[in-house]
Amino acid sequence: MSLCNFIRQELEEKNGEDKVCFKELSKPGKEPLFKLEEKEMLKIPGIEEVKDQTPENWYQTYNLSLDGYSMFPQPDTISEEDKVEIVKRFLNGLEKLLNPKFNWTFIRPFKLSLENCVRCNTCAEACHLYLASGRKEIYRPNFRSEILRKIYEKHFTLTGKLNALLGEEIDITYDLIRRLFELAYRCTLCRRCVLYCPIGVDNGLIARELRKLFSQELGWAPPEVHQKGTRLHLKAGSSTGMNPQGIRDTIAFLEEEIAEKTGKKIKIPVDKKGAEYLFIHNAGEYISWPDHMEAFFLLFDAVGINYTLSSEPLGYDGVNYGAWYDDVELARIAVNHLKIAHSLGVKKILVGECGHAHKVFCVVLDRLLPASSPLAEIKRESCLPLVWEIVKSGKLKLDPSRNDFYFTLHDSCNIVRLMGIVRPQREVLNRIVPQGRIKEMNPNGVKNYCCGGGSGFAIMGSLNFPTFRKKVGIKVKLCQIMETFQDVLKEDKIKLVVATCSNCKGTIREMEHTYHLFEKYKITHCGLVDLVVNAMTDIPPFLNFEEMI
Amino acid sequence: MGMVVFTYVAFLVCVVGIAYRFYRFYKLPVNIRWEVYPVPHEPGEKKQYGGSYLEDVAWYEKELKKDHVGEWLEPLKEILWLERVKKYNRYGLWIWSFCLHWGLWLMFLFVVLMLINTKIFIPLGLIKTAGILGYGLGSLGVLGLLVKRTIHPTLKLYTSPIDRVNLLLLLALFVTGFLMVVSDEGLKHAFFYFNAILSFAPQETKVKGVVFWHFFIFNIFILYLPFSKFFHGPAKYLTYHKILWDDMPQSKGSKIEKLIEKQLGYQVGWSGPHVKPEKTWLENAQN
Repeated sequence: MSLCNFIRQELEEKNGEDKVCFKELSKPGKEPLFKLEEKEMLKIPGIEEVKDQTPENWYQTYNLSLDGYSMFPQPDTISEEDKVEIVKRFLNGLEKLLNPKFNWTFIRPFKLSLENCVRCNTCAEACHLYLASGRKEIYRPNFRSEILRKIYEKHFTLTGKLNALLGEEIDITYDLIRRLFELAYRCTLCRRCVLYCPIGVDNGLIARELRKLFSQELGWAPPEVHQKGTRLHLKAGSSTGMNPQGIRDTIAFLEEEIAEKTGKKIKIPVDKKGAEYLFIHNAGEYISWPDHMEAFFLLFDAVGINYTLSSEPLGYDGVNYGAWYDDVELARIAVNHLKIAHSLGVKKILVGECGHAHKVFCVVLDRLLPASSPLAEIKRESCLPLVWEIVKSGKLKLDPSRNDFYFTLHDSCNIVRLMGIVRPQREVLNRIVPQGRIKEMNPNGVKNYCCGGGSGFAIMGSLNFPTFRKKVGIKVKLCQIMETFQDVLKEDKIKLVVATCSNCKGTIREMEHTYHLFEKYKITHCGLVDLVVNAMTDIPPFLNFEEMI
Repeated sequence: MGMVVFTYVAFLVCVVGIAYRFYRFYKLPVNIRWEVYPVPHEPGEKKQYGGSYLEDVAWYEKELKKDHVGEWLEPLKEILWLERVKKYNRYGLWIWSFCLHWGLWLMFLFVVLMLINTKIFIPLGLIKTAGILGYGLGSLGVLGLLVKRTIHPTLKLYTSPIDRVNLLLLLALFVTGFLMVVSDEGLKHAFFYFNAILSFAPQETKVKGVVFWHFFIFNIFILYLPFSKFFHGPAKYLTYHKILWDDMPQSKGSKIEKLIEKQLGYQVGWSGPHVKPEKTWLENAQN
């Protein structure tokens, strides 16, 4: 049974019941508009549901008034005067989103999406959060856009004023704005819904613009994304908190570990001037998946890639959380990355297996600086085509039988749908694993579903947001993975979800831990380059999943 | 006479209005790239599976090829077949929306045939068929959408009073048009009307009854189009061609480069605690 049929059969929309209407978002108080009921949500055979253990006092202390969840751990004790002020600042922010100078980065697509939706709701079926929740109204991709449209129309258009005269008006209150803030973080910005829209309206962009308004005007953002994210990145050099000495120590440790594992004594180049590539990856990989980093270094060493790492602050952490919520922070981190590459005198930046870093370096950065700027002269490339070039060049002796697993490929939204890098990773996998072992997800490629960790979801750990992520965020992907492996689930062979993105891997790892996927089904994950190195015949097998879990 | 003058004014406002909406779009700053794949101007099979030039090593050293035909064929699937609505909409909107849109296309065809017929003879049967089919399908489509949007709880929630007004305007347009084309008398008067328009002889037409109401509503429709939700048709060109399929990298000396340079000099203006509102975008980025 295909995933689509599965979801359709499991989750029939209940017409007329529990529809949260737009006006309800203005309802005063901290009572959640509804609570997610297990019986209504996507159920996956063989998977036991996570229990919601939100402490009762959180409902009063914090603001969980949207759906009983929150990612914003700020006690909600705001005076009436402050509430009025917040409404004013929100409207100021909306005006700025519509100001060509203050929002030059996205005003074109933003205005188009705000003004041209015909409300056919075709987009709804694309959204994994909406489907997993049991088609709850507020998670519909168009729901938050409609709220923003109503506010926009009321304040800026004649249509909105006419609608108000005809009795359709939304009260712009603190409660509405606070719920809208949460709602901006009930979308993973995967932009799958754009592929469904007959007009090209981009609800993902609207969610991001809302996040931007809250951050750039009100200073509101999830702490893991802002204070512990971009702020820490700019201050300490990495959102992991790793400082330059930390990365140098880590590199030395990896060199030792590579020698222990493979007998190869390789020197990982750091701060080498004039290399062809500055290799930049998500610094979290050094901590969470050091084997993955080792695999890259082994591969580059084996084929003689002329590269360097940087130990400059920011130069060893390619993430850019600004991509999820804030243009100013996005530009600061991106420009810093280019400056580091420029000072090293490299020709190109090579982006490791990190989805949003891919998009920022290769797509977003294209128009952040004029093409003639010396910083923009540095070319930016994905590592995936290069890995494919290496594999197909025949320079490596590869033995596919070493990858004696079952495989499926998870498509990172940023790399695949938003950059069009679809084939290289598939070509590589086809060459390095035994025949007949790859099982494509349904759907796959540009239409694949988000892992549920996109746009910061994977790292947002405040209050009870992780419960939301586990109950709703990751469900469709989990359903896809289970379905993909359904005919081999009971086999005592490892089933690997190959993901070329750190956030995706982190999310799949959370799935494994939450739902005991490895213990029950031997399902786990890894990056692509790890498998290439595992197939290299001149070193011992590199991966040991039993040990890694 | 008044009706013909009204037609000139409505047509002019429509053309100027659409041009103005496009002008306003192009006057806005050029945005950060924000494409979504598949992009139909990618050559060969890339456009089928959603691939891009970024799949190639050192793509910037190669000439980027564009399949212009692909870029212009792709929208036809939506314009003529409403493919995405057909595939993904679960509210049963496709058939009604399809009828409405084909009602519009055939109505425009009817108008064009009538205009041509003032100079070159076109068989009445052909004109009448286009008219009856167009106005008939259109009426059916609008009625279906009105009913759907009234009784289906989800669609009802997402239908504003102005959306209903728009649908009622279309219904009036199609129904009066249908009543006009089914009678030979109506068609005859319509012919005089088009003749007067083309010969710039407003005094030579006397439209009344259903013909008057049809052209009166038609003029209101085209007058209102650029300033209403009906603009979603022309807007598709912008959302797709100028945003979602705009994947061309910036090049030195290009117009985009000059714009980016200018835009980086804009003051940021935001008030968040981490922003320096009085500084420019470039200064903030370098901070």
